[in-house]
Amino acid sequence: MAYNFMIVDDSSTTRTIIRKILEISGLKIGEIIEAANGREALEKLETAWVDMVFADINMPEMNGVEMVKKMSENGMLKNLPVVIVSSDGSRTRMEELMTEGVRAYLRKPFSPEIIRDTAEKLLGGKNDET
Amino acid sequence: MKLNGKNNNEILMKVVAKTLSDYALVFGDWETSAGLKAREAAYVMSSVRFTGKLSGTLLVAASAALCREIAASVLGLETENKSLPVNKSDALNEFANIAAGHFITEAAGTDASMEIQPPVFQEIPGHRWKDMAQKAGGGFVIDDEAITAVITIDNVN
Repeated sequence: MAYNFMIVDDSSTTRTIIRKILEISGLKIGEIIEAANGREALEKLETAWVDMVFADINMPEMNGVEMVKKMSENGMLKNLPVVIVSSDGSRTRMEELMTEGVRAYLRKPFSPEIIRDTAEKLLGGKNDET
Repeated sequence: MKLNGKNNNEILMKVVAKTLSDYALVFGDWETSAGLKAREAAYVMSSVRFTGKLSGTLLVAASAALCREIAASVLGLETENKSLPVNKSDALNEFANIAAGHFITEAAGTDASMEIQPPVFQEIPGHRWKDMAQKAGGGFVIDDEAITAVITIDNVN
């Protein structure tokens, strides 16, 4: 079974880095969908199936906090695992997002291993080749 | 201005050095402003506004060539290959974003609330870069190209 991911960040560089990490992670990758802000991500999630979302906080148009809140209000999206990847180190922000259902909070700059390990952990380990 | 007894500029330069090594995967040598010379080459700057416990602006400025090198390094590409398509404005903006977040945490602690605005990129003339380097006391040099940063704190809440 292949996993679909969404990467939400206004930085194309960061989206590329996370994409590359996922592609060489050993996880079976189906599709990787990118969005530059929360609004674009929610629009794409209306029609795309993803298994996990990596999202930044500080983005134009709709930031990561607003996006997570919208997702928690949506019956179809509220259980979708979201991992925050941000430069924001505020403990208050982390606690706020965890209460909204965010599964993990990674501080930028991140190592490739932390992205890979977080994805593996939240998806229940590497796929078996079937 | 001092926060928690620490000098803003010292905190900022420590953060810039760490961001260079941890994000950009490059190591710069500190050079005082007297030793830095603005050249004819293009310079670029990213500015980040932040509010919360601390309100202010972080400016990061570097030569366009160094930005390109940072962008390539971050993506794991050969920095010597000048023809590679890299987004240097985005790489510098992300650098500034990361530096801003870490500066706030270092200066005001992990309990500090923060709202960091999306960075704004612009080209700047060499003399403006030089002014920033003087204000910062210097910058970091990588392969004869330099990067510097300045922080302005408007308000401590």
